[in-house]
Amino acid sequence: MDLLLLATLRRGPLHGYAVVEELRGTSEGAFDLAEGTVYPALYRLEAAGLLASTWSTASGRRRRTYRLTARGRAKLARERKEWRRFAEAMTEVVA
Amino acid sequence: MIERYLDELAAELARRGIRGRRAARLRAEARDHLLELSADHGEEEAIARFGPPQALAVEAARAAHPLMLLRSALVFMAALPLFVLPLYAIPENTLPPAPWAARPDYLTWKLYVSDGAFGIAVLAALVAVAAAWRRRRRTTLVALTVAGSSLAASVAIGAIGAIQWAQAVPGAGTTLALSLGTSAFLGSVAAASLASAQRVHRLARDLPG
Repeated sequence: MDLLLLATLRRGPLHGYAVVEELRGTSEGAFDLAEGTVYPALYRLEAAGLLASTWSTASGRRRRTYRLTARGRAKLARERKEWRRFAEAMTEVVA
Repeated sequence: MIERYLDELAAELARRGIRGRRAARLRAEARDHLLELSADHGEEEAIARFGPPQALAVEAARAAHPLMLLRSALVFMAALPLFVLPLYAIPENTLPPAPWAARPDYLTWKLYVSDGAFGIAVLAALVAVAAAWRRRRRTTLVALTVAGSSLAASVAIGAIGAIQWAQAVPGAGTTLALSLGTSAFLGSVAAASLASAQRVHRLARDLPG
């Protein structure tokens, strides 16, 4: 979940609803999670210093917008590298 | 329907120790999300897609409890340096001169034991903060309990010594009463943070899975 959220936010700041929409769209519906559970995960990542958030107002509605911090970008880069290595190894074995 | 869901969510969060700003923030974001979802899919589907409030509260508690425990450990730790006031600054600057050339043994050993217990409390509190930072819940609680017990022993023995000192040195009563009052206040802050840590530990232990 953490890696998915960090990867989703790498293109720019998003609020919770947009994070879920982006995740569902990018994965073509593969990650169809209980949408509310994304918030505790976002809070956890924020507490770990990987995300930062601010309230903003759009179309008269107040929203909390999340963005990657420098630490979050570094963590994402490391995790993606590790994931690619793992995926390549799996492909070699399974495919 | 959405408001009822949000009320249920608030109740589930409160049951797991999440209140105040943390709960208000989740409630605000949940409302925003549900309104947006319901505009496209209707309220019933929005609530179904958002997930049951119990599950959300459990996940929120998993994220919040380590931070709550760290806060308790930090409050406990922050109270300790302030003991310099009752243990040193107040008596050193305001106590009248004692009538003896060498301090009597029955006071000296109490001062040493009180200082030693205070030192153990500081070390244990440092361990508690480090453990809470590393999300070691049980270690945090054990270290905080040791710190709390040592602090209580230090304050109790110090209080007996202070009363005996006040009986032996005329005019020392006011200063020592001030020191004892300050110690009692700081001790109650530390005790409250220990109680809060124990509560968070219990709530975290009772989470499913």
